[in-house]
Amino acid sequence: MSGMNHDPSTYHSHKSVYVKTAAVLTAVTAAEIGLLFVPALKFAFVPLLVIMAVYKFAVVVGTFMHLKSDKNVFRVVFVAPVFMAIAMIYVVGLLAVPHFGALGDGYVRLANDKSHDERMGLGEYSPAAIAARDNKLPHLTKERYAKLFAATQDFAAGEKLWGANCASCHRADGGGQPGLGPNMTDDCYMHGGTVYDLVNTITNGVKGKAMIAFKSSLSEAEIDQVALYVRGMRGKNVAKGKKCEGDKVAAK
Amino acid sequence: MSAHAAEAADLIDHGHAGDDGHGHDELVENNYMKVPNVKLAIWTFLGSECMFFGSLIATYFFYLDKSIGGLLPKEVFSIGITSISTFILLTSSFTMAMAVDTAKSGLMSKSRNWLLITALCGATFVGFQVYEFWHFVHLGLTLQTSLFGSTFYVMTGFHGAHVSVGVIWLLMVAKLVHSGKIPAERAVFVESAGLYWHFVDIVWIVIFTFVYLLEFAK
Ligand code: HEC
Repeated sequence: MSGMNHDPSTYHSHKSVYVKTAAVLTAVTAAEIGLLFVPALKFAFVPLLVIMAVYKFAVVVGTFMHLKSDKNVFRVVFVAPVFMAIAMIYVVGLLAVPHFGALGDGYVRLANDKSHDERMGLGEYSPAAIAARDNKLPHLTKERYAKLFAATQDFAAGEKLWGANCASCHRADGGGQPGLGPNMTDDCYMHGGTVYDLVNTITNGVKGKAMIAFKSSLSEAEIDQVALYVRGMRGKNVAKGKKCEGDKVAAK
Repeated sequence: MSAHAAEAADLIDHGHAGDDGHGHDELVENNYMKVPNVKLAIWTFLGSECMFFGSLIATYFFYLDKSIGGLLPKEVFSIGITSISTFILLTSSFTMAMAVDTAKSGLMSKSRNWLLITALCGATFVGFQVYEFWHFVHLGLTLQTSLFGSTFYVMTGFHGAHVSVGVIWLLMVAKLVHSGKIPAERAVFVESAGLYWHFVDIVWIVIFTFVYLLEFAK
């Protein structure tokens, strides 16, 4: 036996150490998870979790990876980057968590020249701005839709889309289904009766109601067509339609 | 002196090349450091991996709570499922240690079996992650949804990719052990694969605690 080659005859198994180590690691992991179910310790969650994770990290590296008893050079090439990584996570990551890290609100101020609370209340983070991003607005103005409706003669495309996508809830003739979609042939609307409003409702749906958003399944042009068709149904007052829901608008 | 130190000393004291009686080339030794090159290479690589995952984790925290839409971590994480896959990965670290231990003891067919068990645990972990991603996407969290979606998928995705690479590596080593190309004298090749495998496990220890558990501790 010579050189760098390993000699199995001089090797003593570490099996018992590994079994114990595995048991300890499993126990600590179970403790980490179990901790979450002990609300009384909530105040100490973060430090306890950090301590347990660091301990597990050290045990795996020290025992399973033998860094504890191996050559110094391995410790140097591994432990130094570990500390660099920790420093990076701490400085870049944790310090910048708003309301948590010391730099968190500072970062926000630097980025926006405003305090955290102001940022949440104003500008691109305001509820209105978020809603505008979430809810796609109709791409034409109210007036343009009114003109479009006045000029439209042919509702065939809209009728087809209606039959395929909407009739299941609003009925083929638009009279509405009990417990499902409202009547589209009366003069009543909960979410506005102009074509613009209809496009809006069809695009974004009604949150919390069966009326789903169609922005991902229909194209803008298709939504326009079906909205014009829906607008065209107003005032037809088909037989056995659902009764008025919402506000009455001027007929026709 | 521990068995390990003795073994290390043995490796160091006879630093000359020669025939090991098995028809294999002498393992290349780093004459300056007096350690096997392959092990030094792995440890250096793992050091750089620390920086790699460190930057992904730092990025995750940097953007945490800054998403302006989409699902929040708490709304998608499932502690139960992630705990199971965590235990599986943890177990694979033990089986990996046993694979190295048996290889060093000269029990090569046992070592091969431990390697295969380890690879199986790793593949199971990846399976859990695929399910988790699939489930999250169904809930409505994609790579493009929000800062949380982007940083979460990139970070855990790279970890999953590392586990997958590890599984392939382990299978290759198992095959070489099986065919006798890695005899006990060259157990350092099993050990090197093991170092990588344990590293992938410790990355998950960090991610599981700081990304998953801390979310519920807040
Ligand atoms: C799954 C059932 C369902 C489908 C499919 C459906 N809707 Fe609706 N729709 C509803 C319900 C329920 C409401 C009432 C929402 C409410 O209570 O605010 C509604 C409301 C509406 C409104 C607003 C009515 C008002 O009073 O302001 C419009 C317009 C509308 N739907 C059009 C459509 C169109 C066009 C389609 C097809 C592209 C469609 N809906 C498909 C269930 C459905």
